[in-house]
Amino acid sequence: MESSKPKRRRSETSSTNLRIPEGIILEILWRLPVKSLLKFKSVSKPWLRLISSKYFKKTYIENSRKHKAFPHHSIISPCWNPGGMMINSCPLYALLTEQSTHAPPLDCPKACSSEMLVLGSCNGLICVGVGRDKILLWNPATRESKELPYFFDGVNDIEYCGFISYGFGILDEISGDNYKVYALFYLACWDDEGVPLLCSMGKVYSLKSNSWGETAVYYNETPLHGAIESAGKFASGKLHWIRKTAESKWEIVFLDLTSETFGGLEKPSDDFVPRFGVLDGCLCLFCDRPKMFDIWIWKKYGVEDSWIKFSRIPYDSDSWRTPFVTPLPEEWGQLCMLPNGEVLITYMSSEYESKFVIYSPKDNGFRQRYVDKFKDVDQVEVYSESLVSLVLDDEQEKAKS
Amino acid sequence: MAAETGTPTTLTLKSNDDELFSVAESAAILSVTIRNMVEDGCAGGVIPLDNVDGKTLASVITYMNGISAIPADEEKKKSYRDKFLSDKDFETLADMVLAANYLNMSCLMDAVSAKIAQVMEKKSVGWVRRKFGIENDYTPEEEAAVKEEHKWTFEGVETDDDN
Repeated sequence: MESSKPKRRRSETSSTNLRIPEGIILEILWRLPVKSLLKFKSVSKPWLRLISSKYFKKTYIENSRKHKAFPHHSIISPCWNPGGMMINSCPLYALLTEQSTHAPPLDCPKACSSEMLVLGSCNGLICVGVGRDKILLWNPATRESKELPYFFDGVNDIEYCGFISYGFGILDEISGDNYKVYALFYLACWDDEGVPLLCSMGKVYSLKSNSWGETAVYYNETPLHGAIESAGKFASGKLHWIRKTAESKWEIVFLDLTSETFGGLEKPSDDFVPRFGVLDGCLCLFCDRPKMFDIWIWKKYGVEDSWIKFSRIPYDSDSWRTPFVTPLPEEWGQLCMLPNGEVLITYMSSEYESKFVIYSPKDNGFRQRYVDKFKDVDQVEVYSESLVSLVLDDEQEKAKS
Repeated sequence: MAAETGTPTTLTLKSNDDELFSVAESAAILSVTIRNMVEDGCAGGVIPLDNVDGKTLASVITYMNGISAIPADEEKKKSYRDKFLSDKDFETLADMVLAANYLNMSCLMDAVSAKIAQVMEKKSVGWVRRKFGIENDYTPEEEAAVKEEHKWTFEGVETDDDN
């Protein structure tokens, strides 16, 4: 692909017979897996500088997002493995093109040994909840990981606690490079008088300051009371949840990661409880109508963002030649929007085995998939490997100077 | 190969080592560089391609003819590209990527870059230095330090066979 940027000067390394300009080197290097790139930092100082540069890290993410073969994308899910709970990963390209694929476990950080949750995945970083109250940020491709400061610092005598809802995302470019985690916990503790206290606590963590912000304590209703899915969907700088307000009534709630305030988003229709997806960084909704899902996408239309109908998945039992059990949609485990606009449907078979079907809006067809090692999958996320470091670039530069 | 007396739809391309090739215009305009020349009316005589040698140009023309004979079926095109590149060694691929860049042929550029990446993925650092003609400007201490930092990435490196 011809680079749209003006050709950069010839590589500084062209001392001998090297005739390949840096622009083309870049075009080759971004296609390599992160593991190979880390290895090739040893080739020479100019290669080290190039691979470590902020520009290259960004190009790597942008190009992988745009490329139709999705060379660096995977589908991840926490799974039970012989060694315990781990996060397994299935290469997206193989999943799209081959009938049967493997999803081996990623090399999890040492701190991950018990119950694990994926709180979110963004730019190659995965935010993992471990056990009852521990949160990690992790780049599986570089094997860098970091445990967040203890959420309940200063809270004494916690009887029990657990995750209610959460999310992970990057601040928009204008606000500068930073990642934030939102976590809402329930907890039971004793107050100073020895009276038992049941409440929920919500906080936002910023990677840049490596600290949790101000605590919001809720005694009755939190802004996320009744959220259908715990994991907030990250799109356009906001985490989104569906919140049930009354029987078959719902609304969309978001948390703006820049301002750290909650807000609401209009709905495209009143159809029954939808699910979320993300396509090209835009929020999508799967609205459940009798015998079909309408897929809506929140996109720029004219000058303003609005809901646009993107596609429709029929699930009239006649149109499925798949052995679905019991009436839908009870058996729909997950709907996951894939970056090519197809939809990955995960469900549990009558033998309690995870099954996968890909729906293509192009030909309105369904393809069945077998993924080895993906078992009891009830949370699927799209993950794309990257060189993003948990030490932000600005800080790296500061440390150097 | 000599230039044929052209019908209006045949172009004559000249490599930098003065070899002449005739190619159907419909196939040649896969190259944006050539297409621009045709549109500017420079294609009447011989089109000189100063940055491509005869061996590489012959290969690129084989590709142009092959790919343009396939109707708009992305999967068939992809399997043609895979097959076309499957037996090429690194030096040929390097010549091709430069030619594809010069001729501004995005589909070939994309395929060859991906192929080079695939070939080098599991290679050693020494192999990459030799093939790309890169001088090692690290002191032994510096090199050891960089390697130590990413030690695990050296697992599964292929032994050099220089192919």
